Amino acid sequence: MGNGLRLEVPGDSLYAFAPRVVAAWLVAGTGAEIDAVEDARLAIDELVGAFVAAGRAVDVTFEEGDGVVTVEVVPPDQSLEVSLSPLAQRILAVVAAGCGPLPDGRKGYRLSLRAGAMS
Amino acid sequence: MTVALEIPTDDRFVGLVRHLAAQAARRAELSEEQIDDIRVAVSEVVANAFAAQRRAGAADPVRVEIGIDHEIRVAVLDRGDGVDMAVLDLPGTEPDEPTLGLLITRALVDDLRIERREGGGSEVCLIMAREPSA
Repeated sequence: MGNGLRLEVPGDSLYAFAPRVVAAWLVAGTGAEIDAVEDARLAIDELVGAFVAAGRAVDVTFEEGDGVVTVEVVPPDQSLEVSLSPLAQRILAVVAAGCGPLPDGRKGYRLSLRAGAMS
Repeated sequence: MTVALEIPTDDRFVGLVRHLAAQAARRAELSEEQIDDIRVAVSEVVANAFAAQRRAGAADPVRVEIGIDHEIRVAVLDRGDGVDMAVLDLPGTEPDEPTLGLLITRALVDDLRIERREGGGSEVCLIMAREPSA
């Protein structure tokens, strides 16, 4: 995990607030503008929501970097496909610094959230 | 069903857990007064876990599990040097800081349980139930 945080989110919308809270808290902690915090909340909602709305649990890891918070969303059950809707992809293209499939072959997504410069 | 957060031993994350627990308490429809009490209680327990990890030199993350139902259940699991529930009831002794934190927590929540974990460390679990509506 390094110096990052890991969140295990069950496939129940009751708990969908948790990754949103963690992302917003981390981005706000970098001194980012309020727009960046709102963008982070939206991006996490779109990405994690795609899994949770389908009743799928996900592991979400957060790593703080300079000017960015990197988030990986990985379902523990790698046997099922979950894809993002075209609308979710369009929203993510606007509110996130980057989003795409994991580069290492695991099923899941990597999301980059705009943050402030860490001191 | 629970959401679980694993965090490094870094005091700034006390605020994150406090915020997360307060949001969970809102979803459990606890009263504002109860949510304030959860904030304080969770802060004390997580700060204690970090201190215990430092004393033990443990590099493992602290794990926080939150369950939401008609109550909120927060479990904080560390790999620290351990704490014994019995210290809360020792008569005539001046409590040290961790014990004082747990005494405050016990006074704020409906139930507080402390267990030793296999492999070392403690699991501190606090529960607060939704107040019956008037």
